[in-house]
Amino acid sequence: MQYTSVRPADDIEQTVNKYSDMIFRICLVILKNSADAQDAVQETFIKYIQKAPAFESEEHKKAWLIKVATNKSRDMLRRRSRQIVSETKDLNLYIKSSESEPVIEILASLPEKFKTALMLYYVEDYKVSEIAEITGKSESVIKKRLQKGRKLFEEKYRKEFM
Amino acid sequence: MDYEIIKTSVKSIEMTDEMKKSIIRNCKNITSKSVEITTQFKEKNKMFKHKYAKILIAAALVAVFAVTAGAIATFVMPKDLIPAEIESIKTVVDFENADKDSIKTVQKTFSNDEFTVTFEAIVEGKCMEKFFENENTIVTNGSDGVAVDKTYAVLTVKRNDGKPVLYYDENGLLPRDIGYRILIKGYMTNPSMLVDNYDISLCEEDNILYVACDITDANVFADEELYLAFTNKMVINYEIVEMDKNGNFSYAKDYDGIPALFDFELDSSKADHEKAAEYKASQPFFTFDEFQKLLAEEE
Repeated sequence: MQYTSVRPADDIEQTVNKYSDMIFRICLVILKNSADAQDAVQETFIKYIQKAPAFESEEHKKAWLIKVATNKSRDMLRRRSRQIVSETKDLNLYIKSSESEPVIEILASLPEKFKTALMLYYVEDYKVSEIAEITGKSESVIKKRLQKGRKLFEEKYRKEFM
Repeated sequence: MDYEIIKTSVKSIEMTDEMKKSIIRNCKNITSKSVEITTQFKEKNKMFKHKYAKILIAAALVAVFAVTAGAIATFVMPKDLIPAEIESIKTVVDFENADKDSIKTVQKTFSNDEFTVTFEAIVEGKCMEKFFENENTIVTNGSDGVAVDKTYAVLTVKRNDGKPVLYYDENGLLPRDIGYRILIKGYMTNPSMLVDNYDISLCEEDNILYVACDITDANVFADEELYLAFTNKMVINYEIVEMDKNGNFSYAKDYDGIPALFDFELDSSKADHEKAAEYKASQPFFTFDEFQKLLAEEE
């Protein structure tokens, strides 16, 4: 159970500097919109301040932040699901390498559950069991998501580049 | 195919320095406000407890722990004997993962002219994957989603005219107008640290709204008389729910939302007196008399 707690200012600054790029990447690929992604990052850190869990390790903290950020992004995605949103061009403003743009566009175009699994596995180097814990799903669900995600990604990639 | 390309591409995404600065600035503002509020709140509570002196607590921070009359009728569901009355939640609950302790029926219903709300069952996280896997499930902002060690109150909400329960505004956004509180008989307090409205998740199927309220943190109070206040408003505070001198609660007479209030039991073996006492000591917990004095001071 968490009680009242307030993070010291230097801890917040340090945590934002260390993890904001990672969280922003995940949120941006899920949401495909930088303003929403920034909101999701902000809300993630607000929850970090307010909920203030006692972390067992730095890895625990990182996983917690990813979990909150993906939940928030998913929530935002669902809330706007009835809107027509097509803002993938917005992604390009934050991608430092032009060669990466089409790859990220393909990844971002996948359904949320597949791209989240792919990002955690290939970008953040989490194991299947760890992704299962972060997302609250079973390992078999994550394996299926990775399998299907890879297939969808590869199909689109081949269509684009081969 | 070499999937390393995903890594190198995604890692090339960076926030601007301005964005980072803005996030840090906003966080620091919130932190300083939190310190201020927490300090004020503790100081005021201390004054009240020891001197019965002037206490001013913002109404928004004070909510209630409440009670309804009526017998508690919780019972354990054996794995192979699913009561017909909770077949209704099979859409979202994994009965196949259940053991004798993982689903407890509550089956209490509130109805008014417009809605029927049923507190169906208390379900352990390991049986809730189906709910959170459902494509229609809305995991609200603060919720961490499903976890095997969590405890959920599962409710259904139906409109009596058979129409969908959820509605979306002109921007396609779902208004956040569903709230719940876990209440403990005899105490008025600020329950926001125990459970908060953001730990609610929703899934609508065939015009039935399934609601999962994360009540994990209430487990330490499992041997007290617990109640779930559920309504179609975000805020449940002492202006909405009132406590009488016996510690029983009711919604205010002029309340215009859904006044659903259910008693329920948790597994008493999960009660943790030490943590419960720690929680109670960490913030204002008022008996009826104390709370009356508080209200008088406010006036």
